[in-house]
Amino acid sequence: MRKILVGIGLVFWVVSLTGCENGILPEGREIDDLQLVQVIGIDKLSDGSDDCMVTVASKNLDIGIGKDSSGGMGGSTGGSTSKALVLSARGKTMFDAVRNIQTHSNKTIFWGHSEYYLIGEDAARENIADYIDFFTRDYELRIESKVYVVKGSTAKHLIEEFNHSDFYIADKLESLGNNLKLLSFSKELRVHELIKFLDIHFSSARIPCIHLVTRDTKEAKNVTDLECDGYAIVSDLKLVGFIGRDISRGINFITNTVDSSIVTVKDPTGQDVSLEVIDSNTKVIPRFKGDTLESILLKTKVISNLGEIQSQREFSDESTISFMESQASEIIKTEMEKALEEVVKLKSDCLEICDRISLRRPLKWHKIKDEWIQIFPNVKIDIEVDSKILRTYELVEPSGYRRRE
Amino acid sequence: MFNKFKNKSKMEDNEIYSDKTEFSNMEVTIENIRDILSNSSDVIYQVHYINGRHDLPVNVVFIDGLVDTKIVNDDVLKPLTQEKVLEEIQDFNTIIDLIEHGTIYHASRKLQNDLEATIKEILNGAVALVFDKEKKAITFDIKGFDKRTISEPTTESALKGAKDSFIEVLRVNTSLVRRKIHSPYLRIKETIVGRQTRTTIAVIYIESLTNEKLVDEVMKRLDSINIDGATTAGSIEEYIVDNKYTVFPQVLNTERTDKFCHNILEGRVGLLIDGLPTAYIIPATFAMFFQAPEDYAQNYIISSFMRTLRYICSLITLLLPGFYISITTFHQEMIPTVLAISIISRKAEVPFPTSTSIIFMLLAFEVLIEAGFRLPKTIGQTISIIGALVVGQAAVQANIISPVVVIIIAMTGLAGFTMPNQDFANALRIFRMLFVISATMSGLYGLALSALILVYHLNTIETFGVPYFSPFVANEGREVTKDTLIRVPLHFMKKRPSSLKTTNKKRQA
Repeated sequence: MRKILVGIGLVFWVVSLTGCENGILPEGREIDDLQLVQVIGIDKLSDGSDDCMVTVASKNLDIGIGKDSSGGMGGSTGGSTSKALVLSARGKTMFDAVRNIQTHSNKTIFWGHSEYYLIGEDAARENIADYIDFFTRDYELRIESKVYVVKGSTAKHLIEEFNHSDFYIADKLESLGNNLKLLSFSKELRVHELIKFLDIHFSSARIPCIHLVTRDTKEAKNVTDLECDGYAIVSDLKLVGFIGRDISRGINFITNTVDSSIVTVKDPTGQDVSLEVIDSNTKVIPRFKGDTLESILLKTKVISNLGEIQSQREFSDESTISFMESQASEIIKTEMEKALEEVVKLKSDCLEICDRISLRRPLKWHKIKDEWIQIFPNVKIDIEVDSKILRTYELVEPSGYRRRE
Repeated sequence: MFNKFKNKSKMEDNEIYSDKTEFSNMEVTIENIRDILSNSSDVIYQVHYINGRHDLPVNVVFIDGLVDTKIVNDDVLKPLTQEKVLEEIQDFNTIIDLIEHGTIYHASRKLQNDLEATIKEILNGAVALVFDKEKKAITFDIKGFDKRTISEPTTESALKGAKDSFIEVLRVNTSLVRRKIHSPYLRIKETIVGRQTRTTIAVIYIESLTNEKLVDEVMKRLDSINIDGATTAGSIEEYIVDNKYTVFPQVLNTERTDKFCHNILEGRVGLLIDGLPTAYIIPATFAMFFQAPEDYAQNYIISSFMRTLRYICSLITLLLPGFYISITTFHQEMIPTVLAISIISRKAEVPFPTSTSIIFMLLAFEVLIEAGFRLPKTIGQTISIIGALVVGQAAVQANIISPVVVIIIAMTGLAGFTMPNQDFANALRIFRMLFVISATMSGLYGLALSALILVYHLNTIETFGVPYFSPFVANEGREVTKDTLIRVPLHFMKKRPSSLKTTNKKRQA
């Protein structure tokens, strides 16, 4: 009996040592009293007050899965037809604004399910670290969330405008992220990766950016849609420029982050041939003379498969293959060169070249690392691309190759 | 002061008890027997003259209904009165000697000098010939009463394996064991428990295989039981277990003869109680309650899979309701977003907190089970209709509970039904409520704390010198993977469980 009493006493003692201030036991909240915020927009107000603006979007459950599938419960309650509940509030700091937003909702705003941070262009141009500090510090918010920079507008504007479309913004952002893996012109970035990147790379970073576009569909004109558009380049914690999706794939080739991509070349007859990049590897080879970095060689190996052949030609000969290989190399090399040129112009160290040098030549790197940010824009960088076509999938020859011209 | 009273009354009780049983120093005479058995209507006293001679009277005592009258007539009374050999005899001593050595031929006859033994035999269905002058009696065991036939097991059914189960008659049950284990070293030790019921309990083990100390300990504990009657299973079980305050069963009960014999061969001690169709296996460990008899009949991969599933199910039935309460009221960030949204939308119009509806549903589930037990079989179907319609569908449609809660409770209940032993499943049910309450109070933290309490509690139990959690603990890591979560092929189980400290350690060459 004494043992049991001691046991119970110990349990209470342990419980009271949890450090929870209000009451011994943790505080519970019913899950249906929560509003699960999934997308958070971060803006700087442009009215000169230096205030921040937070916009949050959560799934509108009144028209969502709640009603129409519960079976025999009657129809939907009508109301708004937008897919997301959007709330926004302003405050002196982010934390202030986040607290203020609670007053606009009848439910408890729950931040534990936040998946996307959208940083408005103005806020990003001012100082990125100012705005994301709260989101990485607060325990309820997730540092696995993904970050995007909104190009050309505020995050609030983007979230509200997109809410008129047929899609829920979090779902759209998720599919955008998945598509990036297929095309590799940008790459999703998580908050913890961003803060680590900023600290390692002299406050530089590349953040995927999104923007609103309008397109015409069969049903309606000027339908709002979201698109990813390359990278936003950050230097010294400030957004300094964008690299559009036409050349932003070059950055992925340089940084070894190509999952899969399509390169379209011509065959000897001038017809289009699409190559699917299945693997690429870039080696960063620094060339030192004494302790000074003379030049850097980026040696890229690209392996691709024949994805589509629009002419009905035979491809069995080596020369045709090598003809296309050299074209692919040239295209990729051009993209890399252009992207590199842009990034160097923006004086941002977001290409991870410094990491690679430090791994390859740690001792030499130690001597130049303090001046790296001055060295980098001036150093000569050569690019070599070696492209290989490996397979042609199921068909060796395109069907109809025996056609008489 | 109170203690004084307590001791005094205890002593009085003992005195009364000893008075009633102290007839060992009385002589074997018909008066004494009459004195003790009195004139109950089913006790038959008769006086027979041997060969019709008035100077040689013999008293015949038996209990009507317990003996087979035809055998008594033909095999005992007829030779007694008509046997030629007895004609010339003049004195009782010679008669007793002749009867004892086969003049009345019956397989089970005993010369009794002791009144207590004589009465015990009579009450067990023997016919006693009492010789008043010589103060001796001869008993013939001629039991003959109606009994249930050996039928299929009702609570532990198995597809493969023996279909016979124990019945209420001890002698039949021991014969069932003998028929399975032909070893000459199979020992059946009997002892009597119950001041009034005088129930025979058989302790079954194999000599030179089972740990002798274990047998002695079981016998010692059985002998120390001092109760009125052993009519229910608990009246033995509760008196011989070590930890009297735990909800977990410490002896394994079974009605299957093959399971019983399997455990005897593992080096455990079996207990058969006269009048009960369930046998006990001592000692029981935690892992044994996950072993179904079919595990050894099926392919070892299949039974390993089922074993592992049972362990997982035990965790589900214990933790799932508490876990659901924890994550929906304390740790909402743990739920995948899509699932969280779907839970929210389902629960939106339900007025009660999650914990309330879980506790309500768990209680409703318990009530359904209890009602199902109590109802006669003919109207038993109403339970399922009420259970499914009222508690399930209607409550969800009326927005009293969320459908997710119904799914959680259904999974919990189903997982609980996979436990092969009902006593063990009940113990899990009780602990489940503790988990639910602690989760309601402090979420996963409370859940972890109560899990700690449960593990601590299980580790404190020791049954007959064997740790309850063995072979997981206190076994130096041996046999952890032999017959627990997985069942290895039988030819890998070369040794008996080492925690039993058997005399004979190898079970196969």
